[in-house]
Amino acid sequence: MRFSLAVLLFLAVWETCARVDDSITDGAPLLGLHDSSVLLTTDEFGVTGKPDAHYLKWKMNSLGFRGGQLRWDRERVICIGASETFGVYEPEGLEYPRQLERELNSLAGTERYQVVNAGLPGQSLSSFARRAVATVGRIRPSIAVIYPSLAIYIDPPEEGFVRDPRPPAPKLQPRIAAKFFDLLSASVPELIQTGIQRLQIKWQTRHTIVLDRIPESNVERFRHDLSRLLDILETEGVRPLLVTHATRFGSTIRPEDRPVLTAWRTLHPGLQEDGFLDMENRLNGVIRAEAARRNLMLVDAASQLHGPADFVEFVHFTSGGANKLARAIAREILCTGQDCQRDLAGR
Amino acid sequence: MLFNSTRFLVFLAIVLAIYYPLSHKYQNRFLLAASLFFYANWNWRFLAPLLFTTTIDYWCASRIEDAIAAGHPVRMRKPWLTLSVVANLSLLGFFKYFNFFAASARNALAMAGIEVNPQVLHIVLPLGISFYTFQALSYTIDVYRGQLHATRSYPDFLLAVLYFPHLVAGPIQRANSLLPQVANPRHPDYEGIVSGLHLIVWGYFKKVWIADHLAPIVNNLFSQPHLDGFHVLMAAYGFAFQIYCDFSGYTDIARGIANLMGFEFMLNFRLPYFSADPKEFWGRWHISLSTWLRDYLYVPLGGNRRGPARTYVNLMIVMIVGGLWHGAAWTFVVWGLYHGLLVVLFRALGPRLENRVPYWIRVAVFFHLTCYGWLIFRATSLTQLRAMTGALFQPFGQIDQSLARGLILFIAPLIVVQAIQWLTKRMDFLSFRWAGLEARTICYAALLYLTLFRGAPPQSFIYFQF
Repeated sequence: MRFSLAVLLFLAVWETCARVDDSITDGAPLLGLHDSSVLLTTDEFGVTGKPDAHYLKWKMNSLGFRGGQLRWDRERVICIGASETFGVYEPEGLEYPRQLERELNSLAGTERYQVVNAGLPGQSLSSFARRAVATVGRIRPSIAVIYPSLAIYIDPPEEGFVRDPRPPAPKLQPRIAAKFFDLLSASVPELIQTGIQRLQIKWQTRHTIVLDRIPESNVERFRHDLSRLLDILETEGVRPLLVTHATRFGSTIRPEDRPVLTAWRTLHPGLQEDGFLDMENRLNGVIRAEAARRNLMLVDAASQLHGPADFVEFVHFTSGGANKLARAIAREILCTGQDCQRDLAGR
Repeated sequence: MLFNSTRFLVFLAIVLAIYYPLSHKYQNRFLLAASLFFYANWNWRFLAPLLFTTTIDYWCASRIEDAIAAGHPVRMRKPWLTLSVVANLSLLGFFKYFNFFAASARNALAMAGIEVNPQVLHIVLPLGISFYTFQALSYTIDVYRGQLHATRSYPDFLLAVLYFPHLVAGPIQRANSLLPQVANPRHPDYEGIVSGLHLIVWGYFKKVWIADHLAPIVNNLFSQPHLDGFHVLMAAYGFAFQIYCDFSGYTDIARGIANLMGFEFMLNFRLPYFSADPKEFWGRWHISLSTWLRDYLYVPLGGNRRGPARTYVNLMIVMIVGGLWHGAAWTFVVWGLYHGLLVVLFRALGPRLENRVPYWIRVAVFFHLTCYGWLIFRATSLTQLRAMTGALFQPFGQIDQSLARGLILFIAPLIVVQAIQWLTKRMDFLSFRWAGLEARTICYAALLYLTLFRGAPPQSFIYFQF
């Protein structure tokens, strides 16, 4: 009995230490919630960024976007997307929208542009489309860069699905659990982690059918969502710039990248590993076709970015990868806009 | 495999899991295999010199033992001792000192106007060579002196030298202590295991939370081309505690692992920064090396039996050799020389100081003298040392409060704990046996949290380079 109490006391001390640690290092509340969900809230359109929230390196401005306050003396570019756009692994200020702003102003030779990061983790095209008119109305951008996250179309939510507008009830989560999990992840060799992930996938799919490739209906769903968003933006007078989705794997999967692909699959176990590249190819084809059909600016990131230099894991950028993307987008914007700078070819 | 790596922890867990159910005979064989694997994991090629010298020492000790048993005169066993000493020191000299002496000779000849270009070899220093060489030498010397019987079991001797917890950075265990533990059955009991775990936790805390956090601060300071007096002082303090926590942390881990398997290693550190004079300091710092130098160098040189002048010379020789043992660089020689001068000075003035100066003042003064010694030890060159010494005597610049706070954050807990140990004279204070289970649980939980979740990125152990 005494030993059991000692174990509970040990865990309680660890939890206390974790909370005090978070409070000292991140300014986190001792008793409240302290995870990435503090960055989010819900409004009538669904999940959105919470104004003035901050968690670790991520800080939201007064409108609930990551980055600085809006500057009305600049031409604004909005970046639409999910966690790749929001920025996960890059140090503060090196996520691609911030680098895009610096790149645009450097190429333009003046502080002309402000790039607004409207990305949010897990945000789909349809969820942004619901709030597109309101967002565009607030920000009044001239250009919208769309870098969609494609994995949501492996198992997209039903049409018309809208999240409960009430904010989620805060959960009392042990903070030490997340720290312990991070420690284990960093300590366990990749081979063992991949083995565990494969077992996990096997367990999750034991009663389900695993697809070789996503159904054509999902591709059509993506086309529909993209087209709808583009219609809204063009109606609001915003020029879209489409970006194909890039992954670490490029066009083929190298043997050394297999463990990373397995890790990606743990998030979407219902699709075979080779189905991921097929999905990327087909949905990127939709992006290219839509760009051609509407005569839109297009950056083919899928062919320009790949490998561990550009990606930390499967889809999220290194700061180098974010820089590459930012430069490619800046060149596309400035070479097809009215202020075309031909000497960009030399850079 | 660094002690503070996941690979080592997995290795240790596997070793313990297999070790406990085995009988004594198989325990020894298994530990030997595990130790060979541990060493080979770093570089399997350097198993050869290790096994070579260990085999020579075993064979020589056996010949010496036979000569003693046969009643042969001393001159008949001396060649075997000579062979052992020459083999060990030749290997150590080649791997550790060849380039140093070659470069020093070239520079000395150049000063005399003679230009030579000696061969410079790209030599990799075998891990732990300074430690296992001294350990093996102590064995043959003890057998020669008749203080120890040579073991007739080659595997036992091999295990005593190669046993992985102490192989790469000590403590330098004496054969008369370790060999019986190897030869006889070991029965790790509850107290031993608890004691071992306690040492391991404290060792990792000192290494991972204190030493490894101080390392980048200290490295940054020593990499600056120009420092003012304040920063030199911070560098000295920082390195004093970094090296103490790094080395004593390693030793605690080694002792703790040994305890888990039923072995008992000697204490290697005993609150060294609470020493009031050099004699006390060297009785508290790296005790296994200082006692080795006393027993195998100082005493054979004559010790203090040949008058004061010869005593001082012997002390200087011992301290310079001790400095050189740490590394092949002039800074280590100067460090040894510096401590030698301190030893001589305090020996000459000691009684007068004790009577006139309060103990705590002598402790504070000697601590700062030791810190200056660490500046010498850590300096990248004599030029840097000169500059740092000069800066200490200039007016201090602006106090860098954030630097001071950073150092205090990591050093203060250690100072508080050790001050309590010193005042209460209880080295076992840190075992928390005086506290109830609940209090001990809280203390260990906090220590483990800081070690596991707030530890610095892993740094190599400083003494691995020796």
